[in-house]
Amino acid sequence: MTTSRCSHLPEVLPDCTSSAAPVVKTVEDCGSLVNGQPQYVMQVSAKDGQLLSTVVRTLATQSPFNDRPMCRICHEGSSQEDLLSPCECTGTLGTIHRSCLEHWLSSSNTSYCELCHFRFAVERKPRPLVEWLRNPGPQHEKRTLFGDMVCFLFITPLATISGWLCLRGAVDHLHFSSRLEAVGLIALTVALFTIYLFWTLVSFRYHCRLYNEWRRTNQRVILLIPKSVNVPSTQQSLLGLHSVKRNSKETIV
Amino acid sequence: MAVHRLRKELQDLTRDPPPHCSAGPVGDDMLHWRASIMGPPGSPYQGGVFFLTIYFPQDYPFRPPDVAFLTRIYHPNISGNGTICLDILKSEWTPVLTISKVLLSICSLLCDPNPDDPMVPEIAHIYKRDRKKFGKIARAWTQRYAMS
Repeated sequence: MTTSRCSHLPEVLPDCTSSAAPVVKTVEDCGSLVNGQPQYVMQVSAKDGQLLSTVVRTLATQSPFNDRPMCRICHEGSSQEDLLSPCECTGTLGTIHRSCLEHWLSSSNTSYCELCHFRFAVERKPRPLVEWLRNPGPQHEKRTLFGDMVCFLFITPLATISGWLCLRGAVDHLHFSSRLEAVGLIALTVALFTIYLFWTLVSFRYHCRLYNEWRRTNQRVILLIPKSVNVPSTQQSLLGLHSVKRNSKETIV
Repeated sequence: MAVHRLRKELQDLTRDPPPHCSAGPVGDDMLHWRASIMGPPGSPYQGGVFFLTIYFPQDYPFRPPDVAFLTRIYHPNISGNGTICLDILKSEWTPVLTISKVLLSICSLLCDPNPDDPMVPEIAHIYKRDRKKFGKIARAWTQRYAMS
């Protein structure tokens, strides 16, 4: 089973495109006024008529399709953080927050724009061990790490006490000249410690491997870009941005 | 960030719903959505309504959503349990994509299957060898599972 090559981007909707009336969607976008504000209601219904969600929104206050540039990742404007235009992408995809881009480059383990393939100047720093211990990745890895740590903390004193008791028993038996029991207890101690050391080594190596993999793929990415690429004004229109770009071709997604 | 962005996407979906698609959260959980796609006209799925379930990861949009068909569908790139073979939901995911674009891509996949990278090789084989038979079975499945 392969899942990597069937490419269907939204803009290439094939030729079956005549209009059809929605069956399960009710959209009422005119006429309803609450407190003087136009309201927009969308209902998404399941097949059996059960209502999945209802959204009521005021159009006048939140319009995502205005001219204000927004971050292409978080869809926020520049109120919290300045927007940058660090690559060759233009239009609504041209602006991005530094923190969002750094987060994406870190999680995708790349250093180029996935759309225009512009290579960013980045500095990668490995994250500290504490961060890995706090969040080692997927849920099952978290569980394995926690389980192994608990086992280690539980088994270590248990193995030490058991070994000590066995050795003391062996010494006592030697005093009473029952050599067979003494040899048996010593063999038990050796077996106990061999198993303990083997398990510890295997677990340690397994988690070291996971940590190294995590360290390799979860580096902190710091973008090294000159200040001049910042979008100067929050109100700057996207048309204005086009002229600033070296390459004016539209990026299609 | 995930919930915040999903709220924005829901607003955009409400404002400008993509053709033949709708989506919305199930109850109060913003990370679990249900979507529906109407069989694109001209395809053997025409007239059917296909339901999908969407699970968003905690670190959405940095990782792709988990999208699967709930309604059975006869398609070379969609398995019997609803798993979709689509690169943008796996290796080619980018945070620039939204759920609206993903649904449009699935619509496009319904119109234009990719038998060279199949999820169900038997269906891909029929699609390649006998397009009429494929259309007939797909229409029969649509009638049986997606129209009621």
